[in-house]
Amino acid sequence: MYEGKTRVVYVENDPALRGILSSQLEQRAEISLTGSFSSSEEALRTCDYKKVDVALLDLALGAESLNGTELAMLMREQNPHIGIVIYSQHNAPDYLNSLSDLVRWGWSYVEKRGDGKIDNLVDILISTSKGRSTFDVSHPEQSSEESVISQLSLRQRQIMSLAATGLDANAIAKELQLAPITIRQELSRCYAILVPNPSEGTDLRTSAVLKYLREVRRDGEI
Amino acid sequence: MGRFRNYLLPVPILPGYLAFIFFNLTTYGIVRFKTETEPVLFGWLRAWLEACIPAVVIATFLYIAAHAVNFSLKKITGARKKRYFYYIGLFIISLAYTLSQSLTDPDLPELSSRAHFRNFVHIFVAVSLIGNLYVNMRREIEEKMAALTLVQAQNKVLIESEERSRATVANFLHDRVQTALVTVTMQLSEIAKKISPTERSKINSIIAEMEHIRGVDVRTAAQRLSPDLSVLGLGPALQLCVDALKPAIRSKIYISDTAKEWAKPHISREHFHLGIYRIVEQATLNAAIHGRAKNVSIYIDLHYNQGEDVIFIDVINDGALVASPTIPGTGSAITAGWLSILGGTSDLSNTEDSKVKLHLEIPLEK
Repeated sequence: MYEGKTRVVYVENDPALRGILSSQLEQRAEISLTGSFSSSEEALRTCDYKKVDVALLDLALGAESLNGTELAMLMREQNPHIGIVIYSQHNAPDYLNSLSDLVRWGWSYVEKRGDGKIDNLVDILISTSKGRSTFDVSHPEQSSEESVISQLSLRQRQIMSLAATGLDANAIAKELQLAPITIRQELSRCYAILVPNPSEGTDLRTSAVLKYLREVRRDGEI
Repeated sequence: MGRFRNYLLPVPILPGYLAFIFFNLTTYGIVRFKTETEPVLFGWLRAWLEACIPAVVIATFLYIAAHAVNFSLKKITGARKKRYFYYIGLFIISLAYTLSQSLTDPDLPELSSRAHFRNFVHIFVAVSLIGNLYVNMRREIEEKMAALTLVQAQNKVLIESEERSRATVANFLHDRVQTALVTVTMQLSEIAKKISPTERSKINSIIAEMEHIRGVDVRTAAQRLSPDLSVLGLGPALQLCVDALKPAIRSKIYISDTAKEWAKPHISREHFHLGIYRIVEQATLNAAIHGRAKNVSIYIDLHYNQGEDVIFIDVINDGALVASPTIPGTGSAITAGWLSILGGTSDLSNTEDSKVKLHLEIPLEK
């Protein structure tokens, strides 16, 4: 810690992601981003790890470069107390178990996600710098064995197909020669089937249409 | 020239050939040298010992002659020369054998020279026929073995080339496409913070869908193309593979305690894990597509068997029973290709409870 801030070094070979995340971290009052590098070699050559509390490392840093785990081991040689947060697309359930007990303390694993809240990442960075370990990966919605489309009636499928083309309830009613109130009721039933547990701030119609299109694509796949 | 390159005398059968001559000569010798005045056993033994010396000398001469012909054939270039030398060699050997019989057969010395010549011709023809038959048979076997080796080598190259292509596309999906989607969704999230709550909720729904595409669709596609065995290990990779085939087919994987440690990720086992993964994947797909199976059970076990560790795999499905013999084109090529690389065996059969069982035994690499 330096002046109450957790000192972070970030190594990521994708320039766009490095730019966005670096910018988000720099805006945080509790974080001091001491360096952001595109490769293991650059990070090892440039950075003084004795002045770093935690390293945020991409796992795959390119075919010609050390990977995040190998880089972390070298950082630990320079600073045995440095916290390590591996940040990767891999959903690797046994990653932490694969590490030796001697190095596992202060070592976390976070899955890269577009909807990942920066607050969550910052909390993990701070706790890891204090020696704690966190394993944070998403548990994507598993495809149910039975397609959700089969739970919709033929009429509801017609309505959702028209909704997917961008028509509103009135236009759908006109197309199907039904009352608009009937269409709204059917749409509500469709939303309940397609988006049974909506998270806060979710637009039901958009989510339901996207889910419907996904299920239609999935139907018939092996 | 190619044909006569293989026209080396049947050296591998020479020991048997010589044993036959030795037996022949000593048998003649016993008849020739045995006297009626001696006791049976002693007379037989003396006769055998007397016959033994010329038999050994003649057999050794024939052996050296055959080797000399063989050695010369290797040195001689040109098909015609080889052919001549081959028959000259057979002529000398047949002549030597006829003379050796003349020396030891009690009846032959009294026969006319015409009978000797006829005897020689018979032996020469017989030796030539046997030699030609042996050479042709050996050449055919060698040609077929060479063709088989070539096919296996080509198959290995094809499989490895396909795996490299799959890995390239999978890495692209995993590293480039997923990262690009993460970046785009993060940018969208930043934009969503600055717009009205109604529009933000729409953007959030789109972000959630993009995350689903990235976290499930792209990741599953990448996994199916080329499993990330270096990170996942065999068990979880297989689980992802069979889960992706739901709801068409439901699968359960059982890995024994002895095989669990071996199934963990390790760089030295990655290629072997990949082979097993592809075989099980293909067996499950075959069960779904060709057998119309609804359920598959996969058992992986590790045993110490006949001095080596062997992986035993059973893939049992409830689909249509297999025809006997197996119908070609039912997806066994990939399994056969990987088995030839890994050096294992397979057996496809119907079980007593009307299920189809693919049994594999693959010795572990040293």
